[in-house]
Amino acid sequence: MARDRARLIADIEAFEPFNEQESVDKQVILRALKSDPNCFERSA
Amino acid sequence: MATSIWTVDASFERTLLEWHNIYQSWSWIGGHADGVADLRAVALRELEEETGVHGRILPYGCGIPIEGELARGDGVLEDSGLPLERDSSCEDGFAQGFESFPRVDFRSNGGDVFSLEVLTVNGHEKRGAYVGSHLHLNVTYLAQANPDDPLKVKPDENSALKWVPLDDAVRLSSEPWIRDRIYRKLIAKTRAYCR
Repeated sequence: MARDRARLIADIEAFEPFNEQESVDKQVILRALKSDPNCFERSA
Repeated sequence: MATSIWTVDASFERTLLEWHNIYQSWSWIGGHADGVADLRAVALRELEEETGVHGRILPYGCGIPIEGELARGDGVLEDSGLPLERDSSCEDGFAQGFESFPRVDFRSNGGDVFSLEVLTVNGHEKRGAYVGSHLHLNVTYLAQANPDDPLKVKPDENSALKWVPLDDAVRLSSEPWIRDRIYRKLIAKTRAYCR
């Protein structure tokens, strides 16, 4: 789980946004992945 | 977290849509992570569970041109004068015309992630219980599948499935934000990818 999360974070950090929507949403997603231990649950 | 899988045929000209029972619209395929951090695996599972189709996620680490910076057709990046160059690291044999992908012009991308989006979901009833409004922090993967494979609806999720030309994802959607912000983007990225 921890390794999968770390890989996903690395993939998203390396992801080059296609447009402004992806640029803004990338930061929101990364913030959740790095700060919310329950972000993969529906209760998050 | 949630994940979606934008599924295309071998020609990159058709995509697989489901009639989504909650959204009451033709829609891409996807679902919640439900405690699993390997979203790539979740996306493939959702595709199989919701459509019966076995897909193959396509590598996206080669990158695509950033919107507004598309290369000219003559092999030179607009405004740069740089010649295009084959990126041998991208060779996988799945896409015709891959030799036109330029190393110098295409920004490298992260893993197999094809698209990112934060989606709003209005409150709704599901299996007899009310689900409150929430966000889907969504990671999308690009997959290829065979349109000749039999389709199988998942009645608690969808009511119909069909392969359609890419542009029909926009035409058939009744969700304005998804249609204009996401499906148009996915179509543009798909066409840039297979160029």
